[in-house]
Amino acid sequence: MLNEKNIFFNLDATNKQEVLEFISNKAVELNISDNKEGLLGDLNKREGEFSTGLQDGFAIPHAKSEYVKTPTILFLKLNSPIEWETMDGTDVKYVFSLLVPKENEDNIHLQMISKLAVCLLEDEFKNFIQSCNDAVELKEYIIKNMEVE
Amino acid sequence: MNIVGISACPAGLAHTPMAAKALEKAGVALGHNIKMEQQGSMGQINTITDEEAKACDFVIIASDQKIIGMERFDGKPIIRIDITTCIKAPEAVIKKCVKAIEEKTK
Repeated sequence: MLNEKNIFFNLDATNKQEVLEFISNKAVELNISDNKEGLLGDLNKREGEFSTGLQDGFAIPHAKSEYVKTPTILFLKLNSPIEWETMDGTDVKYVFSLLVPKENEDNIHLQMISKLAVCLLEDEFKNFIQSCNDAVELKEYIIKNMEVE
Repeated sequence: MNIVGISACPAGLAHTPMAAKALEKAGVALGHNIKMEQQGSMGQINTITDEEAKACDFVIIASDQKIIGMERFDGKPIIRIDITTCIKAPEAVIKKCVKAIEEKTK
């Protein structure tokens, strides 16, 4: 659900739409989705309900979508912060995209995503994500924090 | 005070557990009893029982979604709050609710 291939550093994007397109493209490339336009539509639909911008430069664009084949997390670190309606008014530089199939019976992965979301309330977790620049280290840290007892 | 609440969001993946945890933490920090039920992608989690509903002073609904089982709270004060506000400023939310209930019962 998360490996080094799902982690992208130094991404150049100038707005939210470019980020969502990047996510949709990568999801198809990585065989997470079989329909780029469909997934992009669902990500945008969710953003339309209310923005997934959080605080301290984080956002969590996500979708429970019929175009997602397997529960997956992508992480993107942008080169420069972009405008994204957030809870504290900051621009966004760190993006977790949470992709889940519409009909999902797989509780373990939903529990892990839920734990990841809760981790994003913690300063210690956010500080690590912001400062880590090694994909393997980052993956291991996130997975360790998502583990379900 | 005895506080119970329910969080729910459109996809039920992320904001639902975030709001529940944020409010629980803030409630405890402010010296209250609090239990938050999540109505998200995994169904109902940490479900509030009829007894807990009966014993509460008020109910926080952190959502603009349709909530299951509202009849549990018949006769109780219900406060609906935007879910992002609950994540962003949980202590302020609890304080404001408690104050409103205190003033109501004066």
